[in-house]
Amino acid sequence: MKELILLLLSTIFVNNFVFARFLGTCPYMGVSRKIADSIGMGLAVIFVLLMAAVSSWFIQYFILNPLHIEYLQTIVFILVIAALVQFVEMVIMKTSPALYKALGIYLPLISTNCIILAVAILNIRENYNLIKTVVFTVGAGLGFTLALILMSSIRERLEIADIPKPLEGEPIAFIIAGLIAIAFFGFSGMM
Amino acid sequence: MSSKKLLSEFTPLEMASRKAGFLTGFTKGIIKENPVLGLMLGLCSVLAVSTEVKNAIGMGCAMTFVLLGSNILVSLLRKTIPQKVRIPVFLIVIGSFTTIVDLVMNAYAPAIHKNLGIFIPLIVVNCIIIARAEAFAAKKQILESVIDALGMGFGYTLVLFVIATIREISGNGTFSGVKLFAEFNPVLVMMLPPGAFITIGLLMAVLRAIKK
Amino acid sequence: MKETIKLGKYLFIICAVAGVTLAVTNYFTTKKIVSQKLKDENAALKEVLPVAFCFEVKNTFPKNGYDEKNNMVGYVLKVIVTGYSSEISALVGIDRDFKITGVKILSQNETPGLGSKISEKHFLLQFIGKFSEKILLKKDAQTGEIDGVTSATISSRAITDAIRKNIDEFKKTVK
Repeated sequence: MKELILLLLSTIFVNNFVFARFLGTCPYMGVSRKIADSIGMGLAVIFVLLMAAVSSWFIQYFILNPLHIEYLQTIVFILVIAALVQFVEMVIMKTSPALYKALGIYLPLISTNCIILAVAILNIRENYNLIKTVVFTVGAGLGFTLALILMSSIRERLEIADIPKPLEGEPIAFIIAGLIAIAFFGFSGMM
Repeated sequence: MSSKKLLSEFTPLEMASRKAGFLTGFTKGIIKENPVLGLMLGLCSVLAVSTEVKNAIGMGCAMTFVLLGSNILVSLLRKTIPQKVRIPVFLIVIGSFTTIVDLVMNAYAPAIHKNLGIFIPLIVVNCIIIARAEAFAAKKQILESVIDALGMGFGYTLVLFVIATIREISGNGTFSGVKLFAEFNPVLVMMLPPGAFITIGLLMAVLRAIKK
Repeated sequence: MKETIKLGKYLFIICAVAGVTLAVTNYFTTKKIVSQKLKDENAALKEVLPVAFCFEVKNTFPKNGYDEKNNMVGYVLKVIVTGYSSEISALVGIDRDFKITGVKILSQNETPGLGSKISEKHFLLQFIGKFSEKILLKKDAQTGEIDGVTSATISSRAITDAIRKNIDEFKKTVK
């Protein structure tokens, strides 16, 4: 149990997916302008991440490994993720229009987010069992959401700040991300 | 349609304008539509592998190969791909090229393969390729797709190279593993994740300032 | 319906072509990858136990090392320990008297420029020729003969202590 809690905390803080591993930086820069959007995007990512990670775990250990076609990992995982995102979008649209309204617009963005494939592959590379896979995946999603919220709350204030012209927009966002990353670096010895 | 003509049928003037077209097709990937600094694509791998010039070049080559291969193939298949299954076909084509790069690098450049780690399979999602394959190769002739892929790949590699050079020299005092200074106190933070974010932010700002 | 079959057929052909291409690539690269891995492993073993000519063939550690005449000349241990921010894994070679013949860091992800310096030569060369009693940081014990890496005490201590403990444990199993 202790091991699992440690894994969860270290995935959220010590090895934060955005600030320490650089995964999911593209949507991070695109979406992180409003806090509300960040929360929506974060929830959608956690949801899809969990489904993708669990299904790719089963595919790896029950299809790819027994058949000795591990080299097809990348291609199979990306197809599964793409199909999954489509499927989730369809199901949510039919069953819960309210949820679709909240998460729907983020779903297409997610299929091209490297964080999903990265988590699926990392689970296999680190030899995690199913429970650890779930914990690691939730940690990854929470870490990503935390990064989005932190960033968007700063950027909301930046809108009205007086910034040198060439730095406006993305450049200053990157520098802020760098400063947050320095803060996160303080967690690194806590393992 | 001028593109249907044989090369020998072109007048010199037409040839020149065609050449100029290719040249801008190539250079726009480097400056105006640079995939990293302009279009904000493929950031994850740029930030992650730019700690060493060697890794940066390895990653750049891998990315260019996948871009080139998938652009050529998608362009060749563009008339036969049914609209409805376009996306899965793109994914399979790109995924195959990525896997080939992964396997070949593992066999012939194991050290770089190990350093790049998960970012090799991630080439597949790399927004660049998906965006480019969709926006470009599906509509254009082979030659144009090739030039576009080369321009984009070169633009990506160049940014990666510049960032890696800045980070490796300032953060470690070396260039591609070769020690540059006898006495040098490196700025450690440049090698760490924060250094990556700050370098790319400043680089973007400099590029914008120059453009104006 | 007809269209679905047509699309299915198209996708099937694409998948088949991709599958075959990858299977062929995999076939040609696997051999190279496996032999490269073996070569690297052997080189690492030889680096920490230079007197040995060949090593026991098995997947677990410790491994025995043999010279040309098939005499056992030493052992290679694998040490895995949590450092400052990552897991450090290292190979340690010792001769039959349990004197260290070499240390090699296989993987670590410590702070670049600080903790990562534990994999540099001037730190690791200190271990060679010493017995486990002396494998302590100088600042931790008077008998210690290992200088830690500046500003990376936690990483240095972790690997130093782990090497000593592993050798001591191993001694018990042999005696």
